[in-house]
Amino acid sequence: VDYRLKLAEELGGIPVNLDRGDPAEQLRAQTRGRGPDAVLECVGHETPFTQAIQAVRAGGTVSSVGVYVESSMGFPPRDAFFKDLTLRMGICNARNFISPLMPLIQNGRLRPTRIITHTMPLADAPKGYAIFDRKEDRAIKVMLEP
Amino acid sequence: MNAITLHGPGDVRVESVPDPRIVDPTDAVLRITTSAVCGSDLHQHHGRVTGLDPGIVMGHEFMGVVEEVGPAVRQSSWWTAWTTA
Repeated sequence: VDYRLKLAEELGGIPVNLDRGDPAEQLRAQTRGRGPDAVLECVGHETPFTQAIQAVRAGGTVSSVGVYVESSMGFPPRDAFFKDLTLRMGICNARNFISPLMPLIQNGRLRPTRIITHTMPLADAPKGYAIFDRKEDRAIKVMLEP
Repeated sequence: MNAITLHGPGDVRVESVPDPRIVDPTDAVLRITTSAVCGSDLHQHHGRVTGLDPGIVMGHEFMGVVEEVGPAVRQSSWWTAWTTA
């Protein structure tokens, strides 16, 4: 996890390490007690979804893009209700965003290749899956080429 | 063509599978240049998604070149935006 937080910092983020305490409290400490305007839930699980709702500011937005497996889960309705939250979730309509994003990549403002840690031939796919699964060799994004 | 297939939890293989072809008028056939492993691929990899056919082809984070399109597909701009009529 450390190497991922370090990359987030290099990309301009302020890393929040779950090992150092409640993420909602850490985020409030970074935002003068208010909480972030928007929180992205990128795992697809009850725990981070709950943490996102707890961390976001009143009136803020939680957007959940992690892929869920479970058919149901716990949910803190009281927090969400009294914060007047906007909740959004689902698969990103990626193609819709190609037009605005491609120029930012072309002019260098966005560099998505920064997350690519491994590029390997398709024949090594089982290995690619294994190291990504176990987060070995500082793997973040594994690319496979035919 | 070669493809990554999943046969059960943790059982990822690279196998030869039949080449894709146009079946419906809105289909396109892509020559894949790169595919990435997604965090959501791990759900299948761990066996947390049920109902998958053994040997299902993995790799939904792909990019490639359109090689063939069905008659209902037209190109709407100079780069990648293909759309069905």
